[in-house]
Amino acid sequence: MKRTLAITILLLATTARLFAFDIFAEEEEPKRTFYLQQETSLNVYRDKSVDPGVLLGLSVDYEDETFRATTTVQFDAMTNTLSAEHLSISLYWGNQTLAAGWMTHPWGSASLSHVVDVLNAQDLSKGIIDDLEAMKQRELMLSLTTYWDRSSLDVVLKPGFLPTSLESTGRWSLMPEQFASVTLHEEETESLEKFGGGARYRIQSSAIDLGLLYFNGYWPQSGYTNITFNPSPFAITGADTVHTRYQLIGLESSSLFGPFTLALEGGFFLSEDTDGSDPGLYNSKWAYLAELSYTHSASGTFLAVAYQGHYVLNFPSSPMDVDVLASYGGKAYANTIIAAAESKFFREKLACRVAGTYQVESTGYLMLASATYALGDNLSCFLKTTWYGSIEPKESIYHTWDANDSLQIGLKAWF
Amino acid sequence: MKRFITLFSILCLGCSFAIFSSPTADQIMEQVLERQSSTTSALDIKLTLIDTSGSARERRLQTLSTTKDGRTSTLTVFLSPESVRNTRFLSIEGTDGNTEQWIYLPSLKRIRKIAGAEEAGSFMGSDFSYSDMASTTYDTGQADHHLISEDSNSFTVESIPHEVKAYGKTITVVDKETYLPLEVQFYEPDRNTVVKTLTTEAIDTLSGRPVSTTMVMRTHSSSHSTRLEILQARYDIPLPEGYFTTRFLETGRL
Repeated sequence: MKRTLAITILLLATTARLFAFDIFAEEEEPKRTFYLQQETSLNVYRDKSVDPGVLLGLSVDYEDETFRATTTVQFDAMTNTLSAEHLSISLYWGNQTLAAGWMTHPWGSASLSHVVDVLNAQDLSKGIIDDLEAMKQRELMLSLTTYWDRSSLDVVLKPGFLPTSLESTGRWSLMPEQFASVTLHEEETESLEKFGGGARYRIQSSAIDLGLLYFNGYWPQSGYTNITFNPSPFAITGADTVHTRYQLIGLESSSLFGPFTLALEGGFFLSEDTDGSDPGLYNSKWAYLAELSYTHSASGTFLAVAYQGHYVLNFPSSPMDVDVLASYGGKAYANTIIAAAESKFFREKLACRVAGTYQVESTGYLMLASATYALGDNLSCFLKTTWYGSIEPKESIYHTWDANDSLQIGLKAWF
Repeated sequence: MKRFITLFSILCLGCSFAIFSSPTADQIMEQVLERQSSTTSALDIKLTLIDTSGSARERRLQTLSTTKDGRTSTLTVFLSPESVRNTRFLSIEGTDGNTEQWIYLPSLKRIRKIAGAEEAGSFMGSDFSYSDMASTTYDTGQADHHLISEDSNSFTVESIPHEVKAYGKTITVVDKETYLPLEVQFYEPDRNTVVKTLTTEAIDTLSGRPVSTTMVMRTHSSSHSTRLEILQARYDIPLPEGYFTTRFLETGRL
């Protein structure tokens, strides 16, 4: 009897169920995870101005078998602002996942840049950093993903949208010179009239991972309409912002060739201004990206180089057309080369990253370099540098931010 | 009758050799692998990276693996440090012998198909390589084994791999009772210099089987070491196939 009992207990112990979100949990109980992150830094710009930063991030996850609620907020002590970084609830049933909230939803297969990752607009109010996800604006959206054996379909709906976040004044301003003293009337974008939605179907095979995409929504960069101006001396005095509805038909793919990965992204952006006659709306265009990356698996070193470009159809000649204002050197096309490397040293204590972007038409460039050293499991120090510039003085985002070269040092702790 | 007695004596003699003589090196190493094999396993692992100064950093991970029709699928979930928390890694061995691997990086919120890790590459900055994490011994099809010594408690077996990848040879001290490796010395491809030494510090019974629960891998050239502790283990348990899917990688849900 004793032996039978012992065997039963042993069997129960060895066959106890494993759980998805805590594999070795004794029983499937809801789990709450708190997580704090603090970053203190000093950013020194080329013009010798100093910008201290003190950030506190708080993340709370609550999850059980059927759902996960995620909250991430960030407090900026220097500006005394609290911002929601991520607020979402995900429901899981069968082979489906439904997520809704203030969040991001990534599309695209490359690492250095994307042309089909259109669901969240960029935040350019603090320059460019080496983290594409962190540069995204969180938006209200809903996604439903259905998984099959080697494929999945995700459907995304957005009730309204947030335009690209830009500063109109100060160091990071990108306002065109013509609009420097203009009174702008911002278009309302967070309304059901501005809904967007799309879907991506992904399929995996041993040779290639392929995704086909469709999205119907708004271009996050604004155009201008109802422009008023003073004829003498000539100056623009007012304008309304307007956003262009477009449809994206695109694809993303990645294939392995030994240690190399080839990622391709591309698509056709079909504008509502199909013939390109409205100077306030963006025209249709092709956009494409090819990225070749290599991982040296013995050392973990990652190297990648990418080419990204676009070609605008019916490119206008008017200097006040938004396609011209947004172009590099007044050309219908743009070609950009991006390269990056990342490696870890001293048993992964030191992580070094360098990345560079060169925009061919404007000769603008951006260089990012960083080194992060782990002082402990929950504490690291970092050094980051950023250089903006252009070989020739042609208009580009990099030329505009030429004086914003910076050196940042800081500490980051998790607890 | 005399013939029968002679035959019986020879048979008895043969049996006594079979019973009392040492197993061959191949048999020992087969037993080593056999004792550690399972159709499924779930391991909760702590890695402690120890510097020459004695300072330590910890990594926690959990792995699930299943072997079906001779093909193994493995899921690894990284729990700490914070920089890799919730990173999930999936490896599936295909029918064509090729292994497909995907990684989910929470910071990118994307699954990425990746090339196979080089066997000699360091696992999470530790003294264990990827091949060490899979197995620290060779099976009989991979290496020539030679029994070089034996005492009352252990066998010492030299293994020379047919194809030199990470190491030129290993010398393994095997516990006679449990057939677990007590110590493994890993040699450079030239077979003269010891690169690393794995020492078993604790053996425990988990899920009804003896398991090396604490092992220390020491790299001789740098004098740093890594302690691997198996905190929890379950073997030959039913594991839903849903763990070994890209859906689990993305959602962390079955």
